[in-house]
Amino acid sequence: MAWYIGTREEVEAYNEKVNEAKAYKGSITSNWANPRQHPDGSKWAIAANNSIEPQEESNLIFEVQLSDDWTPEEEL
Amino acid sequence: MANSNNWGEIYNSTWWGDEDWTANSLKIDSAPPGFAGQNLLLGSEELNKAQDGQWIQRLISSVTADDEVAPIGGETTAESVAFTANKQSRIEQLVTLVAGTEYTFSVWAKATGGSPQSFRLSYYDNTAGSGARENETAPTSWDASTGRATMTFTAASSGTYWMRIQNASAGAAQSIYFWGAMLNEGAAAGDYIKTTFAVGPTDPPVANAQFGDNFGRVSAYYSLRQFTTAEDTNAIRVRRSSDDTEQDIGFDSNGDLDTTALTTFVNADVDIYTSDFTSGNEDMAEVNGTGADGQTIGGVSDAYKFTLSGGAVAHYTRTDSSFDRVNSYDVSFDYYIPSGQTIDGIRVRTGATGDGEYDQTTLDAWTSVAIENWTPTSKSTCRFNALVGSSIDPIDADGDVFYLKNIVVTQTTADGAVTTFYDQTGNGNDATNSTESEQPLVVSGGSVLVDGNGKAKIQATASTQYLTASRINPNPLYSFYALEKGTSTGAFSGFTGQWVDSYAIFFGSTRASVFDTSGTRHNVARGTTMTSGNRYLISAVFDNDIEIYQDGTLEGSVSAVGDLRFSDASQKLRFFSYSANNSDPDSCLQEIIIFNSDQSTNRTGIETNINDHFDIYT
Repeated sequence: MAWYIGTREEVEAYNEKVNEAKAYKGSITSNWANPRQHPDGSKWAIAANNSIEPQEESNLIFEVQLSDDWTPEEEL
Repeated sequence: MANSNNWGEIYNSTWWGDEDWTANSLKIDSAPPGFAGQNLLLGSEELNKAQDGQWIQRLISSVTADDEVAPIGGETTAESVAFTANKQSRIEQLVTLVAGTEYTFSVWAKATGGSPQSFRLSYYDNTAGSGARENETAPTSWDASTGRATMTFTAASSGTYWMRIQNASAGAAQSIYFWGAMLNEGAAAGDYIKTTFAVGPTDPPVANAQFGDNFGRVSAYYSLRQFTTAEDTNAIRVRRSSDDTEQDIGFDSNGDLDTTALTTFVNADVDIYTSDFTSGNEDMAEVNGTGADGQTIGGVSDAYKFTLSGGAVAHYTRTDSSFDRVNSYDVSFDYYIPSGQTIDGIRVRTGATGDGEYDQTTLDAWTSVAIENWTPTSKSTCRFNALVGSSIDPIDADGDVFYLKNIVVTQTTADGAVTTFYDQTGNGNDATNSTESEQPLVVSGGSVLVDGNGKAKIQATASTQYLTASRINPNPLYSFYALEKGTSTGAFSGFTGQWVDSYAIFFGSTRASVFDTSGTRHNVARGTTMTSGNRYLISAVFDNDIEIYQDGTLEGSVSAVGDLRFSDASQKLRFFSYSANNSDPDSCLQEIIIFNSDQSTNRTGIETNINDHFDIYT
């Protein structure tokens, strides 16, 4: 899954853009993605929709895969 | 007064002598006390029958059939029930009651010895997770009128209830005769109605029936097979990625997921883009060129004209968001290229050569093109590039033109995402996810995801994907998972769980872990290592102790963990993960069965039933 990285406002704006483009018609689905905060609190990520680009003025950075620091190692 | 069927007898009828009478008219003054149709308990004189759907025995020493003359009727049909020295020693039967309705539970009792003995009538509301009880006394002799113990209550929930006859003493084993168990609507015990266990799917269990025909008391049943042969239920609700519409999917004649209906719905043709080049509606995006609608050329009006500009560069016009880079599409359009120009064709492409390119080189004639089963995986736009020979870049031909009309992009395959994994028990505890990117898949790229035996499976294709359902009280909790290990090699390999201030469980490659309500972690070491891509039947038992079984074999246990009761009603069941973003990528589920009742005597049979259907292990 690819991601866009940026501020909380930027990732929320992207999610809103996808939701508006989708205009979900089903009875269950109503949202594209939930923003995800980096463990150190410095940035946010949101799943990238393959067909919808961020707004032109957006500073979101496209990442094919989140780096390991987004998922700290925890013992199972 | 006893009768031999499941209906009350005509009660207190009156001869209305002054009125006309016909053979088919009989007036009834009033309904009898408690006559709400029937005795809701089955086997009212068969308290020894203990198969699923009958009188289930818990901590019982023995039940001896026909051990004593009954208080009514004179036949030897009363059973003696030998309770162990435990207040939870009981026989019980599952019934379905309606919220707000008053019921009376009754039974005749007689001590087997020379002194009166105490017992309890009780009920347990499976929906509310609570119940009530009354202490009763079994006298030393039958009394048809006063020897009938009764308990009246009003149902708080609509759903299943356990009706229980149980020991009242934790310190003494005792044996009591019982006869004539009855549950009727109303504030008093109605005239006794004898009931029997009809020959049906649970008496005895039918070998080829579905899971719910063989095992009762299921709290929640999520599966890609049908719960019972008689129920017309759905397995899942699916959102197709092409247009985000949703549809319920049920079962085929074999009780498996109806994959024909599934693929018909998911892969239905959906037009993603249809051009309209009448004046004022042009919606193409041009690069190094300009577009104009409402054009007429070659005898055709309302065409789109692309005029090259910008010098020796690539020139194209495009429709954005045409492809999802996973699925297949048909693209059709008409084009017209005047002769006498530098350009001598157009090339249809996405922007990535590897996605496929389709050159069109007819001049001076409107020509129709149909590209079928195109599956671009790199780019999402459908481009129409100016072409000279075999080159699209650079082209130095400012002012050259080509025309387009009737562009249609049709998606012909799609992903099928699971929005709902239905609880087929009828308890309504469906597992759902309303966020698109977090929904697991059952169809990918138009193909049903299947296991090695060809049976459908639900797959979490990313660590973000999961489903949630409402909590289920875990005291006790017997849960069964037909699953496939994903590709995670890191810490998290969660398949189900509940988190923070409630219990949580997740299955790792080398051990399972359970957190209790106080946050204490209990690790259950596993005897084997789960391998990515392998299928397993995991049974997780919470009953003061924790036990983890893999493919029917005990993998590990933790003793005396204690109460795992919830402290927070807002907690959820989670399938595929126990918290956000830790699903095991590519892990799969086919069936999850949950009981919040003791299934220790049924566990092996349940595991055999699951394995017989899904063929997980040998």
